Amino acid sequence: MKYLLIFILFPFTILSQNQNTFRIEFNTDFRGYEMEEFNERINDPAYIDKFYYDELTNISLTEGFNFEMSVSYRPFKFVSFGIYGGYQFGKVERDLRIILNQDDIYTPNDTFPGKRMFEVQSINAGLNSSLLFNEMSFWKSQSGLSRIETSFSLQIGFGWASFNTYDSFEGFVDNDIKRVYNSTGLQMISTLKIGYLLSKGMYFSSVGLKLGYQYFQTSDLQSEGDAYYTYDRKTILDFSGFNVGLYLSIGR
Amino acid sequence: MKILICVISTLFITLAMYGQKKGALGIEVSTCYNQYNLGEFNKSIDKMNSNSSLILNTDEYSEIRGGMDYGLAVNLQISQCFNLGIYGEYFSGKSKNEFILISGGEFGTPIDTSYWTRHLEVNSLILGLKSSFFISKSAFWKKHDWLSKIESAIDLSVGYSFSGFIFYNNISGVPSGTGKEINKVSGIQLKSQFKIGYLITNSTYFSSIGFKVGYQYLNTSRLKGGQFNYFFNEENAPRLNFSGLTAGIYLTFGK
Repeated sequence: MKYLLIFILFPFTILSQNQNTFRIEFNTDFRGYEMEEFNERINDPAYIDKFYYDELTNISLTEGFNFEMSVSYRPFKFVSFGIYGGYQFGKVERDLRIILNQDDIYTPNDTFPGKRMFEVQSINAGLNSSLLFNEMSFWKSQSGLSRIETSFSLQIGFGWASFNTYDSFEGFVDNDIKRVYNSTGLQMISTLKIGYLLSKGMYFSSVGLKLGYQYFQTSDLQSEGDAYYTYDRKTILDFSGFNVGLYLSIGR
Repeated sequence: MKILICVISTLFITLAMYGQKKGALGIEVSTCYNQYNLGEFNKSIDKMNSNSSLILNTDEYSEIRGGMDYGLAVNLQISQCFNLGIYGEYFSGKSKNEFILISGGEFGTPIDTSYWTRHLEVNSLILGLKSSFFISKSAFWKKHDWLSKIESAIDLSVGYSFSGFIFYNNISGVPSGTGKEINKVSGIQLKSQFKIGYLITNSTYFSSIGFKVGYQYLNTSRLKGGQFNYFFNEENAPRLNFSGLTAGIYLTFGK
């Protein structure tokens, strides 16, 4: 009975001493995106009028940026739990041109350069948990590492994604109309962080680098008018890929 | 001299009480319903609708009068009675109306009736600074024991808004990529709110939940109007006036 009690109560013996247990973190990172199916669609000549180009060059959407905020609480010395919310986006553009033929052969044709924009974005929210290596005894025994923090975190959440596409030509007034398609999906991210503790007193603050991998594939892109992108083949958004960035945290 | 010593001692004791929760770092999340003052905007939309070939298919036309607001703030208690923070909020208002379009009938062509749903949305993302004055931390409030679990504050905030108007149609039975016309504007938001809530915990960690009611001022720049904009030309493009009353609930937590 005595040993059972010790076993049950042991995790509580390593409870933090009420210091540095509430944390707010802001981060921004550069993200690589897979987008294989999506890039196939935007390069498929079946979906772009030959009138707009001489030669269809290959373009691909492979990267973007993310801004995120999280709030976490550390109930145990090595582990924290929290919630996060973020916004990520990426874009790619294709060069187009419109040629207006003149009536006589002596007047050169008018050529208007333009661009077809492809923008993707998502809003994500979910839960996170972190394992704090710098709170472990092997880390604390090294005096040279006292100002260094490092952790491994897992995030699981949900994302609401959208894809906009529109054309814009020089010499023509933009009419601000974008074709919009939406999709959703489950997001999972694992991240390794290493940072420097700027202050450790009443407030703690730290800044550092993060490196991770995101898995986030959405359902088929569909408009509110019940049309898929494209009209005869469905397309998902695949935001999966590696990411690297910076974080800043403050807490008590 | 004795009176002076008593006054100074009382002042120091009071200040010592004020010194207890200074430095707390907290998060506030809130959701409210906002009323908007979109008279000019709704009038411009009505004028355009009445000049189009679309016929309203319901008895009453639905206008945008209000919408939901979601806010998040990070606050630092700089003194016993005041906190300062940064906030972000998003609010929107939507309307959806059913129309029919009757086409054809000339020169023996068949008459075709299509059913349209016209969607209008106005929205705004605000980023700014806010400050709160806690009435519940002043001396007269602390005198009453029964008020010890009640918190009350006045919030003042100023922010920059990224606002927009979105318009699109869906035609029933015709799958089509939704073409949204997006018209972006901006403005300065000023907001003041009165909060009253219940302190759930007030020790090392604090949390509270309550109600807030207030007034928001936000009148944006003019929407873009022009040759290719459906609703507005350059002379009659309205502003988005989100000014009005706001009421909702909030939750705070922190340490």
